Amino acid sequence: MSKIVLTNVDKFYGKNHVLKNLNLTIEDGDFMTLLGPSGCGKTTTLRVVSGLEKPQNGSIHMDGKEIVNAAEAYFAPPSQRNLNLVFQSYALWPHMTVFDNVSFGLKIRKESSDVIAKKVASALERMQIGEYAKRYPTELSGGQQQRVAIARAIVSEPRLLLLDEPLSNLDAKLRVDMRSELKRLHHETGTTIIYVTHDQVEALTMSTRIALYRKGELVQVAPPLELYDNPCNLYTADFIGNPSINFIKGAAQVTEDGMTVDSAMGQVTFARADMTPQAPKSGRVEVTLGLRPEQLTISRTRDDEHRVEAHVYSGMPAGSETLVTVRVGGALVTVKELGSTHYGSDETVYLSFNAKKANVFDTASENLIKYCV
Amino acid sequence: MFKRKNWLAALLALVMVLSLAACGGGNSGSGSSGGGDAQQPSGGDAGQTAPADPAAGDLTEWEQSSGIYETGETDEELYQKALEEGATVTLYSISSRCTKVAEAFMEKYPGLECVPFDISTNDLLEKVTREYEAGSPTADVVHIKDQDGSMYLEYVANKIFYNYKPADIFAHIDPLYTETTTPLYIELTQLFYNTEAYPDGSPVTNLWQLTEPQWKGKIMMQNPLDNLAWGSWITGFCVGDEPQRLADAYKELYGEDLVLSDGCENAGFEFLKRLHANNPIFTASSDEIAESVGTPGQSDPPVGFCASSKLRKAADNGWVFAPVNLVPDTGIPAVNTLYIVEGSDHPSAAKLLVRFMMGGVDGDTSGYAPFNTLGGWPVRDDLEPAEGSTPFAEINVAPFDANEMYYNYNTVRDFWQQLG
Amino acid sequence: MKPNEQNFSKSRRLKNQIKAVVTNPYNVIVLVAIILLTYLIVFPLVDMLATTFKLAQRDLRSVPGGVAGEFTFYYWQRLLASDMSMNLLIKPLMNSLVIGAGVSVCAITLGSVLAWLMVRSDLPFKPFFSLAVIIPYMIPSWVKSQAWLSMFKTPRVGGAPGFVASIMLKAGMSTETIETVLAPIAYGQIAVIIVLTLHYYAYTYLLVSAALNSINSELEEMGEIQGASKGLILRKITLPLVLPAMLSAVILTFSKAIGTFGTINYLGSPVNFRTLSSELYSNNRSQNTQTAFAMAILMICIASLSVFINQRLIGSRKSYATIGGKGGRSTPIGLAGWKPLITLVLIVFFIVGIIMPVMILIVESCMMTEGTYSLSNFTLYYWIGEGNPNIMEGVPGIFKNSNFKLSLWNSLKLTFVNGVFGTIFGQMLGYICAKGRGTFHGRLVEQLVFIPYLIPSVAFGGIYLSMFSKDQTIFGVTLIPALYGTFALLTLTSVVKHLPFASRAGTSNMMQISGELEEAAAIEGAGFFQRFVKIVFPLSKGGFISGFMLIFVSIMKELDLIILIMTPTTTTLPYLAFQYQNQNCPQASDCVAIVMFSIVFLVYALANIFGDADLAKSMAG
Repeated sequence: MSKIVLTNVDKFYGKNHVLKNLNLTIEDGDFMTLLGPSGCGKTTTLRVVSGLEKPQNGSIHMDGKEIVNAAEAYFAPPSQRNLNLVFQSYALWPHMTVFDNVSFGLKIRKESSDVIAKKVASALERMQIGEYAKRYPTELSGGQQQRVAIARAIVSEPRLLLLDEPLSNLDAKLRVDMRSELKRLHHETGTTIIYVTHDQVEALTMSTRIALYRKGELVQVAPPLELYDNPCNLYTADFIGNPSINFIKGAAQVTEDGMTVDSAMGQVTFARADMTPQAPKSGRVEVTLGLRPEQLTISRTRDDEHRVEAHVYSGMPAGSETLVTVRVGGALVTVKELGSTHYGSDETVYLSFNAKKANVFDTASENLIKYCV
Repeated sequence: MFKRKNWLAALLALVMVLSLAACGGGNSGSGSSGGGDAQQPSGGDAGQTAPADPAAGDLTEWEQSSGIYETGETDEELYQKALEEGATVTLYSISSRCTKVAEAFMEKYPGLECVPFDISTNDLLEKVTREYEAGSPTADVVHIKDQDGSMYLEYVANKIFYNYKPADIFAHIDPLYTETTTPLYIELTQLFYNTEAYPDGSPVTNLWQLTEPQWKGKIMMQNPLDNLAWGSWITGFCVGDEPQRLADAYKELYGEDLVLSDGCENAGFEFLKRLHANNPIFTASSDEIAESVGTPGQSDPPVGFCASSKLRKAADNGWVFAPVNLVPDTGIPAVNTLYIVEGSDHPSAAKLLVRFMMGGVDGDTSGYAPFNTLGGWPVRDDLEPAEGSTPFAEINVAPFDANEMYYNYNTVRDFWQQLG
Repeated sequence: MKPNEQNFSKSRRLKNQIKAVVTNPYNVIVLVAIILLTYLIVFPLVDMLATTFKLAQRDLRSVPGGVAGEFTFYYWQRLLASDMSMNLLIKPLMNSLVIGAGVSVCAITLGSVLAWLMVRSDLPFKPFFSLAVIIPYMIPSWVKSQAWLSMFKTPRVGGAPGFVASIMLKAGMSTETIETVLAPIAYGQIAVIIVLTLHYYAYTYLLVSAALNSINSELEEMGEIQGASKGLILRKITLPLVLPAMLSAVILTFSKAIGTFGTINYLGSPVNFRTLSSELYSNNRSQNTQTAFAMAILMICIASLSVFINQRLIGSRKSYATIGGKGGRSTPIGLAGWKPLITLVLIVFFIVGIIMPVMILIVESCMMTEGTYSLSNFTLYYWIGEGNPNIMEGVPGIFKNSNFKLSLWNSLKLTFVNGVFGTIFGQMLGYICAKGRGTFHGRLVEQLVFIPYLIPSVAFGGIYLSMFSKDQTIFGVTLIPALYGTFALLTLTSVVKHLPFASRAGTSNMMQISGELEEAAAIEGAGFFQRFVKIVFPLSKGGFISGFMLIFVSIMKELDLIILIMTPTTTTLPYLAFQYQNQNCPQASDCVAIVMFSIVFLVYALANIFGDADLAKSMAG
C-alpha cells in the first residue's frame, strides 16, 4: 500500500524524448492503469517507477520518501523500493522450478526456509498453481506461466505491484478469467497496482483510475467511467470506447446561456450549466459532437420531430446487440441498439439522441466544452 | 546485508584505484623498456673494436665475481665451486642433442643439475635477449652458431655473451677458430647428389656448373631470406678472398675470364645472380632437401645444398646420396659455438659444462660424443672425427671472417631480395 | 532526505553520481576490463609500432652514423620506398590479397553450402556429417599441407613423387608432361587456396549454420506460399538473412588467411610463392624484427580495413540475426532427386578432405622409415618402443618417454586452465559487449578484444615476454611480480591471445539471454554478482562449454605464441612435435599430433554428448 508521486519526469533514449514532463499521482490502494497505444511511454513509466530505468529529470516519491531525484542523480535501487514487477514476457527463469522461481527473492532476502516454504505455498495457492511447484516453466501452459509470474511478484508482499501488459500473451478466454482474478487480488491484498495495457477494455473493467498517454504525455487521468463519459479531448474520446464514438462536425452559436449547435444531427441547444469552464463565452465556434453509439436511438419511423433522416450503410446483428452504420448527411454514424434487429441496406431510418448525454468538443482546440450529464 | 553492501562498494572502489594504478604501472613499464636499449653499451663503437680481456681494474662486478677471464681452473675446482653456487646450470641449445649432453653431464658430475632447452636459433636469440634486457637471465650456457659474425660483434662485444677460453683445451685448437669464438665443432653446407642416379660420381664438380641451363629448376636449397644461416651462407660468397676464388674457378672451368654484369661488384654477386636466375627450388626445411635428393628410385633427381649433418641420418632413412667436394668450395663453414651468458648465477657450473662439451682434458669425451657424428668435424686436434668422415683438411671450405661477414650481411641480403 | 525538496545540492548530486558508478559492479567491471585490455592489448601494439622506428644495433651496419636505439625511418623506408619494396612488400602483398580473397570466396561458399545442407535440408546421416564437418578445424594445417603434397608432389622437386604423379608415371607419361599438368595444382596459389579453404571453411560453417538455425522456417514457407521457387527463396529470403553471418565469416577467414604461414611455407616455397605473412616470418627468423613488426602492422591495418568495410556492409542488417529468434519449427527442405548425389559427394569430400589426412598421419606414425610401403616396414616403435640406439638416436617411443608425459601433462594443464579462464573472461567481455551494444564502451571493448587476433603470435609472445619478465611497479610498489618462467605468464598470454574467440562466443551467448530475466532478478533484490551466478551463468552454461571448446582446440595446437615464453619444464605437446620434426623423426611427431588430435576430438565429443556444447552456437551473433 503506497502512494506514488511522479513530478516533472523526463526520460530520453538518446535523442528520443519518451516521457515528457510527466506528473502523475497514484493514490494508496489505487489500481492505476497506464493506457495508450504502443510506444506512448507507458511501459517506460513503469520501468522508471520500478527503478530499471533512470529518468533524466524529475523526482519520484513513494509514501513521502524520495526514491528518485534526477537533479541530485539519486536513484534508489529497485530492491529498496518494496515493489515487484510482472513482465510482459513473464521473464521466468527457465533453469529454475516454479518453487525456485517464486522463492528466489525471499532467498535473496535471507528469509528462513520454513518462512519461505509457507509464503511460497500461500502465493502458489492464491494463484491456484500449488500442484506445479516442482515443474519447470517450460512444462507449463501460457496461463500457468502467467500465474507463476504473478505468484513470484506477490510472494514478497510488495507495497506496489507493477504489471506490464501481463495478459497480452493469453488467449481471449483466459484473458477474461485472469482479469477478474487480478481484480480479486487487488481487492484482497489492497496493494497499490500500476497496470500497463493498450487494451481499453482491460483498463475500463479493472482500474480504479486510468492514466491515458499520448506520445509520452499524459492526456487525462480519471476513474474509468469519467474517462468514458467525459473524455477531455477528441483524442481521449476516440481512444476510449468500443465501438468508437461518433464525431459529427457542426457549428455553434455561443451565448451567455449556452450554445446552439447546427450539424447533420439537426439543431440542438445545450445549457451553460452543462458546459465546461474552458468553453467560449460567446461567438461562433466550429464544434464536433461526440455521440457514443449507445446514446443514439434508431427508428424506422419519424416518431419525433427531432429525428434526423439517415440511410442504412450496413447492419451487423450480434445477438445481444446490433451495430448499425448509417449515413447522415456526409458522415457515417455507428448506432448500437440492444437486441437483434435486421436492417436492409439503404433502408431509410431516423436517428435521435439525448442532448444531455452528448459531448461537444471545440474543433480547433479539440478540447471538451460540454459535459455528459 | 546493508553493511556487507557497503563493504563490497569499498572493495570495488579499491579495485578501481588499483586498476588505475596498474595502468600507470604499464606506462612506467613501457618507459623503462623503451630505455632498455639505451642502457646497453653503445653499438657504434662495438663494431670497430674487438673486445680484449680487460685489465683487472676495469672488470664489471659480474666479470669479477664469476671469474669469467679466469681460464686456468681445473675440472675438480670448478665442480666444487659449482656445487656451492647452486648446483645447477641451464643450457639453451640449437641442437636436439643437448638432452644427451645434459644426461652425460649429470652422470659425470653427480649433484649438479643440467637443464637443457632445445630451441631454434631465432627463438633462442629472442629469448636470451629479452631475458637479458629484463634482467632475469635464465640460460647459463648458450650453444649456437656464429654464422654472420653477429654473435661476436653484437653479443660478445656488448658483453651479453662471453667467450670462456679454457687454456688447456684451447691449446688443442687452431687459433683461426678461437679468435672470435669458443668453438664446439664445425658443420658445412655441402652439395649432395643422388648416388643411385649418378653411380659414376657427381654430375657437378665446379660450383659454376650449377648456373648452367641443364640445372635450371633442379637445385634444391633453402631461401636465404628465410633464416640467418642461409643468409650468412650467401654472404660468404661475396666477401674476403672468396670472390677471387670463385673467379679463378670460373676461369678453370670455362677457360675465360668471368664478365661481371651490372650491379654485381664481384664474382660472388655474379654467382648469386646466376644461381637465382636458374630457379632453385626452395624448401621449408633442410631435411626436405636431403629427402628430395636422396630418395632412391628417382630417374632424374635434383641436386641440393644442405647441411653436412644430414649425412648421419642417411642410414636411418635409406637415403642414397653423397656430398661432393666442389671447386672452389660450397661456402663458409658453420662453426658451432658456446657462450656463457652475462649475469649467470652459476658461472662455475657453466664453465664446467663448456669444458665438458668441448671434450674435457681427462680423456672422457662423453660431453662431446653426441656431436661427434658424420657431417660434423671436431675443432680440436686431439679428437678424431666420426668413423667414415672425410678428413676436414681435404674438404674445400670458404674462408670465414667474422668482421667481413657481419658488415656485408645486409648488403648481400638486400641484393638477393632484389633478385626476386 | 526531505521529501518535495525543490532545489538540489550539487555536492549531493556529485556524491550520488560517484556512488552510482562505484557501487554498480557492471560499471566497475567495464572500467577494469577497458583498463586491462588497454594494458594487455594496446600496449603491446604501441610497443610493436615503437620498435619499427627504433634503429637496432644489427642494422647500424646499414645506416652510416646511426646510433642503436635512436629514432629512424630506415625500416619503413626500406619497406615502402626502396629498391626492395617490390620484392619485399608489393609482390607478397598482392599474393596475400589474392590468397585472402580466394580463400574467403571458396571457404564462404563451401561453408555456407555445407551449413545449409546440414541445417535446412533432409540430408541423411546428419549427426555423422555435422560431427565430421568440424574436424578440419582440429587438424593442424601443416598436416593437411603434407597430405596435399603426398597426393600431388611432382618428380621435379625430387624425393618420392606424389600419389597422382606415380600413377601418371606408371601410365607412361613423361616427367615434362606431368610437370606441366600437376605443378600448377601441386604448389603455389591454387594449392594454398584449396588447402586453406579446407581449413577455414569451418568458420563459415559454424557462423552460418548458427544463423540458419535461428531463422524460423515459416519465413521460407511464407515465400513458398507466395509462389516463389526454391532458388528464389534461397536468394531472396534465406541469403539476406544469413548475410551478416557470412560477412563476419569473411572477416575471420580473410584475416586468418592473410596471416597464415605454415601452409604457404610448405606449398609456396617450391615455386618461390611468397606472401606478406611468409615475408614476415622470414624476416622474423632472420632477426629482422623491426621489418617483421612493420609488416605485422601493415597486416593489422589491412585486417582492420576489412573489419571496417564489413561493419559498413552489415550496418543496419545486424538486427536481422534476431528475426525469428524464437526458434520456431524448422521443416527440412527436400533435396529430392539430388539427395543421393549430394550425399555421395559429401561422403567423398569427407573421405578426401578429412579422413585421409588423419589416416595418412596414422599410417606414417607406424612406418619405420618414411615412404616405404611394405608390411615389414610397419612398426609401433614410435608409439611404444623401448629406446633402440639405432632408431631416433635412442629416444624411446612416446608412451615410454618421460618428456612426452611431461608435455602431455603441461598441455592438458595449459589447455584446461586457459580454457576455463579464457572462457570466463570471454563470457564477461561478451556480457559487456552484449549489454553495451550500441554504447561507446560496448564498441570499444568489442574493438579492443579483436586486436590480438591480428597480432602475429610470435610478436605477441615476444612482447609479453619483455613486459612481464620484470616486476611491474608504480611508485615503488610492485603490482605484478616478474612472471617470466611461471605458468601464470603462459596462461596470461594464451588467454589474451584467444580473447577474440572467447569473447565472440561470450557475446553470442549473452545475446541469447533476455535482459528481462536479469531485470526480474534485480527487482527481487539480487545484486550483480548474485545475478551473474544464479541467472546469467546457469542460462549460458551451454554456450560456456562451446566457448571453452573453441579455446581448448585452439590452444592445444598453439606453438608460435608460447614457444618464447616456455621454459624447459613447461614444454607442451606442439613443442614436442616440433622438436621431433627438427630431429627428423616425423613419425614420432605424427604420434604426438595424433595424440593431440585425439584429445581434442575426445573432449569435443564428450562436450557434445554431455554438455550440449555446440561450436556453431558459440560463433553466432
